[in-house]
Amino acid sequence: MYALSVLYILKINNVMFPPIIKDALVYANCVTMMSIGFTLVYLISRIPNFAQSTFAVLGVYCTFSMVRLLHINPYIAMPLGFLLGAFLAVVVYLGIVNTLMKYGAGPILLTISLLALQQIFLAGIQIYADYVRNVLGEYSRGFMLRVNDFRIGEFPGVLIISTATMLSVIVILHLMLTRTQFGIAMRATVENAPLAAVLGINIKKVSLVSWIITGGLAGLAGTFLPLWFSSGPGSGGMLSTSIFASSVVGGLNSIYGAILGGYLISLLEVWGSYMLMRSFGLWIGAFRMLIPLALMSFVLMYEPGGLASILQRVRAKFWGAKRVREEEPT
Amino acid sequence: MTEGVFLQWFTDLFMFFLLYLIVTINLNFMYGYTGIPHFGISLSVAGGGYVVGALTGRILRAVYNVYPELDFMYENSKITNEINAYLANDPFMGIGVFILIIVVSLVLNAGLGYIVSRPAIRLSGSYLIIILIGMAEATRIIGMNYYPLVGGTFWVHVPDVFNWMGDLRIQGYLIICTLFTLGIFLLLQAMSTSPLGRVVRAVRENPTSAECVGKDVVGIRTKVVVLCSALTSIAGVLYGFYIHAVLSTSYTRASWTFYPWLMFMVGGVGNNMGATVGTFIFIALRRLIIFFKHDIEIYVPFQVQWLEQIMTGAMLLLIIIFRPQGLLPEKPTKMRGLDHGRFHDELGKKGVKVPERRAKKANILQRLLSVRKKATSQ
Repeated sequence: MYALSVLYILKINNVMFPPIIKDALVYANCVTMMSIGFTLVYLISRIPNFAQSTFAVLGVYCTFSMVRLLHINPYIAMPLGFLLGAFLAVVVYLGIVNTLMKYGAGPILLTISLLALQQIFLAGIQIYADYVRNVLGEYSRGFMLRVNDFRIGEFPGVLIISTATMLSVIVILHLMLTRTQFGIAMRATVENAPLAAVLGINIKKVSLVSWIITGGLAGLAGTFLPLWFSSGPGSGGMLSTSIFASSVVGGLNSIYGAILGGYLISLLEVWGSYMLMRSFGLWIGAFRMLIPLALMSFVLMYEPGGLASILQRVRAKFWGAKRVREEEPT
Repeated sequence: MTEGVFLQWFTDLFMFFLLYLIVTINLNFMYGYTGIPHFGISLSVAGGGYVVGALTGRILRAVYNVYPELDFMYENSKITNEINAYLANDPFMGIGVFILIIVVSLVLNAGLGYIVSRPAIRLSGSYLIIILIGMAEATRIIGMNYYPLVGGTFWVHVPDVFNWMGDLRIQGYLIICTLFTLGIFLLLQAMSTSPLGRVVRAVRENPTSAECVGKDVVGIRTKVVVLCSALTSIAGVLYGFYIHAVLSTSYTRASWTFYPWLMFMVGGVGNNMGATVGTFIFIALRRLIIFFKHDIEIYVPFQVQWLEQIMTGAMLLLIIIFRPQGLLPEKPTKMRGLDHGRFHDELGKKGVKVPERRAKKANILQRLLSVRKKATSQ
């Protein structure tokens, strides 16, 4: 309500809504959605999911197909992107990760296999793009679909819908993790997987659900990308540093940390590159991925626990928490 | 296939084998022996390439004073042609610049290796992988967007410092590359069988206990990354001088990080001979695919290189699932002056179980069945 009234005041006073804020918000929503998934899989399976950004490219091509090939509303791609991403994540988990874990493979082998999977998926998407260009005659790389989006006043539809989706994702995740039996089982698995298994929690099911959420959210985030940014098969790779940085800055051991880190990193990235471009010239915009990388390095050097451990310390100091768990990342 | 084409094909095959071998054995020393999962190895190769592209032409232009009024990057083909004419009669300058570039590249990339590994070297595993992947991507982005370095997305020509060899240039350069590769191989092989090799294995197996007996784990890890980054950059330098150009877009993650990982996973982790065998198999396979590419291209509505990527990715997955130790598995460390037979007997008498040097492993079928059995018994 408050936000709406602020928007109304801005509207009647005819205040221009700066385009950089639109850029930053859409970007932050997409990055945060993916970093939630990245952190979730890291918490439960203890592996960094490097195929994460590839699920997003799947979403990008869902929207592309809806708009350019079927000529229908781009937002029909949202559920499709979610389902496709979730399906692919299930295939990855059951086909590769679970099989390898059965053979006793360590995190390094799993990481290599995820990189291999990423390469395979990306090649598949490139084949689709080539097919669309060569057979259907539609330009399929470096497209931007802003004109196909609706507008309310000066707000583009993608800004409104992605923000609404992000807020509902946060609320649903929070309710699931704190109010449902399954969410509590999930948190127990994060704390201590063998102990949770002893108590009768089906760890495989918990992992599977975490992978479904990851893949689905990444696919969903991908469907928003081409409506505001120029996209193609390479757009996943451009996002990946921001995703890693968000999760690492958030602490890699808390989903709320990932949400905070996601917004912090992507807003700083967009704002920082904007300020640098204003003072040094446009050429510096090409190096914008160095900003999240530098922030990530800084956090790892001075506070490896990230935002989550800082918040925990602050809480302990002011509210006197009885027990503060200081976990060193391994 | 005529003789000339075959010679060209064979030279190319052998050259790429040498270049990738340098990367692979360095990677093997970092991951196979020390346990550092370096997923950003392409940044060292790119670092070597950038040194060649940025410095060779500029140094030689200053020496011969060729077109000092022209912009180096915009007119570099004109400048390079002129320099090549000078170099045809000046072997000492060619060799001198080549050695200078190698030394500069070693020093600079040692520093680069220190900088990129600094944030996460004390944290192992996922954090290190994330940082190194990010750093490799950053190196590539800088090369592609900073025009004065190696010409952005265009290429920069590299003067032919072995122009004085005349017709024997290709063979001569091949011999020089072979010597460099052999030197690096012998150095790393000697290091891995020396007491240092045992220390790095201890760091890999159990960092905590290595620290308990007084080894500086972070220091050893840093030194290994610095050394291997410097040595890997030689591959980038030799590649630049081989194709007479440096192209910043060629240092992708697929070609200089993923393929070397694939090669030494195929051959055997923690075994230099295995890495060599893996590199050879993979390079031969890839050259064959490239050779027959145009025959396939007619039948499919997309580029064949994506099919190649899918095949290599699937190959790596199959190897990880069915033979994670590679073709040639790691052997227990050899110690000079230690009789292995007696060592086994003495320990056996005390009731300590020691794995045989050639322990028999269960085959794939048995492993599958045993996994099934374990699952059902639980």
